[in-house]
Amino acid sequence: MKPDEVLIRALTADDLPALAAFRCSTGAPWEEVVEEQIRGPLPRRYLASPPRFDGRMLIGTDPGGTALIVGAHHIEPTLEPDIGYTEVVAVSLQARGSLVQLSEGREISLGELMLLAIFKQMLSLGRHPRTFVRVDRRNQRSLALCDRVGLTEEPPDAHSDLLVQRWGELPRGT
Amino acid sequence: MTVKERLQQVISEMSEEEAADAFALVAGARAGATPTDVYGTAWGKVLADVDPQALAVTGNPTIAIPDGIPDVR
Repeated sequence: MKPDEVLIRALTADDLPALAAFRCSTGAPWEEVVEEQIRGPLPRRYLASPPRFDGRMLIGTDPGGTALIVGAHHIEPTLEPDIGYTEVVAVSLQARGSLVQLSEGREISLGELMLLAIFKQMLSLGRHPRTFVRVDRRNQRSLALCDRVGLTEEPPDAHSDLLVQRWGELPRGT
Repeated sequence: MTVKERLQQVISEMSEEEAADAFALVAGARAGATPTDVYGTAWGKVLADVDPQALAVTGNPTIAIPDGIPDVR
């Protein structure tokens, strides 16, 4: 798959019916939570995001318009500039395992493509160089994705022993 | 058609479920409700008690964005 075969765009209300049928879980508890959220309240939460959080939900589709990947990020408005928090990256079951061939010969997963597109958007929006995600500590697939994209620091999460945070630093001036 | 008439038309075409969603959105916005993330933590509170070290910019990026990553449209 080539990068231009995946269109990454902002969520609209027209996407709600398709997302209500989105499947990304094979039954693991951390996947079930995300699937339920994507099929339920998450898109509406982002569509109604209060401006101070600048919530952005993204959808990556194939040329036929089928949703392959979903991502969502907002700011944690505690600093100036504000910290970008990537809340969700999810790959549809039908697209799981698909690879995207970059021009330099490197292949990346669809989850990696979405996360890097989110980081690129954070840069264009002038977010704080430090950025983070929260991951269920049992979720080896997502932890490996974090390693690949450079979210390598792992402090504990203040709110849940089940979660860890993964932090990284964005490049400057890209 | 006035805005009110347009709204009345949209509302009349909604299913019960869509109307409930719309009502919840309006009520939430009016109440200034704070969303929560997928783990139930309120937006804006996720970094409460975070180690200040995590926020310190080192100047050594750990993230690189390779050529070919698409812009969000």
